[in-house]
Amino acid sequence: MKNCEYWQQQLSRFLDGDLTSEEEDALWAHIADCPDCAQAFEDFSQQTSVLRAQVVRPPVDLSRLVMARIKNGQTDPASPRAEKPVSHRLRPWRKLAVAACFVALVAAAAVTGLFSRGVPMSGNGESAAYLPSAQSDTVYAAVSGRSADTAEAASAQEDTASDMLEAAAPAEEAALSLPAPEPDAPEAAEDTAADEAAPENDAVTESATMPIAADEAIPAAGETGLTGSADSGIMTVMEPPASTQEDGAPACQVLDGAGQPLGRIEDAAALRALLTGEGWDGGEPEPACTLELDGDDYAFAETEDGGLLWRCGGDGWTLSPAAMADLQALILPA
Amino acid sequence: MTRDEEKLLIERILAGETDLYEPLVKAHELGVYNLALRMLKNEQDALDASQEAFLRAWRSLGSFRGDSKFSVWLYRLTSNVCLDMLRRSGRLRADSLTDEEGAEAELPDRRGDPQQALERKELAAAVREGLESLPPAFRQALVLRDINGLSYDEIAQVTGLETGTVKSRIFRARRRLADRLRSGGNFFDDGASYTATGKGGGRHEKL
Repeated sequence: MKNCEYWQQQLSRFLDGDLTSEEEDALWAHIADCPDCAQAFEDFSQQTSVLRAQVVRPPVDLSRLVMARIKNGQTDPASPRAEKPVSHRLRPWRKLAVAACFVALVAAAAVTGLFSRGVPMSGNGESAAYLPSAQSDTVYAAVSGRSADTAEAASAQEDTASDMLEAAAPAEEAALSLPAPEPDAPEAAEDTAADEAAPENDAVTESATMPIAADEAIPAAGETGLTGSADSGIMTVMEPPASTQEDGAPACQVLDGAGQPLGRIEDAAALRALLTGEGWDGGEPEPACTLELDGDDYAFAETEDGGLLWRCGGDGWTLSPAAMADLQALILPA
Repeated sequence: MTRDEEKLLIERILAGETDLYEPLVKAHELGVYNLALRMLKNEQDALDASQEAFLRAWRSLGSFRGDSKFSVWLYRLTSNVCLDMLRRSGRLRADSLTDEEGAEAELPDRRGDPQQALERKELAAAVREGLESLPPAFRQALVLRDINGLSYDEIAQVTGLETGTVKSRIFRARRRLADRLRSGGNFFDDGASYTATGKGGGRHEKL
């Protein structure tokens, strides 16, 4: 009986054409003598056969929808920002309150201050573990204006993104092999006690082992803008050298919670770089300020612990107090 | 579309022939949609996720180097989109990740149904329900294998898991699914023999 686990795993592999003929022979020999495994064979076979027939056509023409959304926003796949997320109007937040805390902080040296500690890739502990420091360094290089190096660095990152798809990452990229971090602990646990694991834990384990953001986090050299979806709860940002920003126009006007002009932000790249964080489900506190960037409305507020909460399209993200200071530093007086 | 054709197509898209993305989407929409549908369990979410996956793929097409199949790369994007959505909805709707027991209890005993055609339909429905009751990690592996038709190695690429773990996970998913279907009385017990059917591409054709 104890061995049945092994034989049924072999059975599963058989269904996937993964057994050698010797392994197959041994499997049949066992099944002939073991009613439990014979039953498992019947069951696995039936369900697999049914499952493999379960292909459903999408109810709409997906390709047309996708193409319409692409054409609506852009024509160049190398400029991801041009494909804008659906813009939701920001729901009116109740009233201005914390607005004063944003007023007129000087921007001089602010950008340096922001990037000297690296771009805040994420406030989420889990994803932070999979966004290694090397990546932040490259982001830093990319935003700090060293264009020649930057192109190389970004290109290297790009290669890495593709390489991440390969099971075995070369040693020098170990730090960037996002899926790798904890393969032993959770997986071993799962494989020995998977059936006992609570479903929720399974989900958490899976999320933690998925290379989330590995591909989206690393656009090709010269790309700009937000990557990742506003739906993801985690946003990652790559920026080209500031000099490649499309024009020198002020990036956006900043309004206070009452809709009155509060200032402006010139450094759109730094602002976009700020827009990361951990998903927020805590409702809609009063905005301290609002702004429009790349066609989307953003609202910012202060969290209870002095951190930065930003919202866009009905979703919210939170960042540390340091990010709050960074945002304040970005806002130039009106 | 062969891998080379696909690569060529992507090069042309990147060179500015935007319209050529449409055949690429068409070629993969079935796989992407079905993966999303089984992961997210409802049509609307699956459509949203599929679109999002194709848009993400579009945005990062320049970073696709052809080291893996385009479909594998795309399924990884799709998986990430779906898991993001599940994680988010998990916070909002606790049932989406923990409905295993609840859904199990609803399965009626259909063993007594005399019409085999109907039984087959019901088996299909029960398999679908059973699949959807699996935890996302198991569901993902099983769907990638049995619906998307990926190899173990390709699933490892999509999920970032070791191939051995993929095999093990698929087996556990099948074991869970079978236990559920059996306890729900959903399997045929027609006394069919279970003699060796040979490899036959790994697909058992009894039904």
